[in-house]
Amino acid sequence: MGAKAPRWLPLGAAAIGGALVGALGMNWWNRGEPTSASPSSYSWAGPATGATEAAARELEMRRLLREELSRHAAAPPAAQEKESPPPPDDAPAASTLPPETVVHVERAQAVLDAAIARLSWTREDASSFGDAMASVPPAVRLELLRKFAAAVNERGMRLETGSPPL
Amino acid sequence: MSARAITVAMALCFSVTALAGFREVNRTVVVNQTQRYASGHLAGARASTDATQHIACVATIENASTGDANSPASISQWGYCFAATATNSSAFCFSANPEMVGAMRNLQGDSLLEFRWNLNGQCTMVQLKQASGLEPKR
Repeated sequence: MGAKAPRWLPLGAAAIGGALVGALGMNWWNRGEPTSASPSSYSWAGPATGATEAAARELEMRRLLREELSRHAAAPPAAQEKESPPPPDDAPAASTLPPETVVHVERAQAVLDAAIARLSWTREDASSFGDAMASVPPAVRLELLRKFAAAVNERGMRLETGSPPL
Repeated sequence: MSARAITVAMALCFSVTALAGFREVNRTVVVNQTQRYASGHLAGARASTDATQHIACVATIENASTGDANSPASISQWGYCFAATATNSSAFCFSANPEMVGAMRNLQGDSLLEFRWNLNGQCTMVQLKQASGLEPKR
């Protein structure tokens, strides 16, 4: 009465069953192993250490300083050159970041590094740092502020100026 | 003292309380480095009994041009807020965003200041509150 089952049916069923068993087995085998999407992988990556962060920021500071130096040393853009008259023969060469500005940047960094080392920000630090900050390009100033913020917020540097710290 | 006198005295007390209005008496500067949040009332911090509580913002606007008539004005502005608690736990954020710096500039002696910052130390929120319940700086 019923239709005769094709001869390949048992083989197909066996193949599908085998695939399912294999998949379940692989799933069990991989259980507990972190993947990139699982929260447990966060602990594998681990937070950057303080030393690593400090080194990265130092590199970032140097990169910013290099950029500022090159920007100041670079010739004006071509569009501006067309509009502006050519400089007279006795005009000074392309402006560069004055050496005293570099000195200010280095002084500010030195003051900040010393304060971070002792985790204390004093009036003297604020005075020296403030003087230096007033003479650096805005991009470098922001980088110094970022470093200062990290010292206060992440490393617990105490503000002992009794007045605004900068 | 007669019962009548006591009644009058009590009535006076209640009437004075009613006329005073709500007054904020919280004088504690709060710093939460986990939430990257700080708050405090300027006058309250000043009036606190310890010598370390402190909260403020400083805004700076400057013209960095050389002053040469041919050089364009180069206005830059930046500002920062900071807070220190009674236990000298400190917080600091900065910004060069003109609107954020503008908010810092509006700080008053009787303001309640709240600020937040991101992982780079940049201010992400500066909130100033002026309210009748906040005491003026003395």
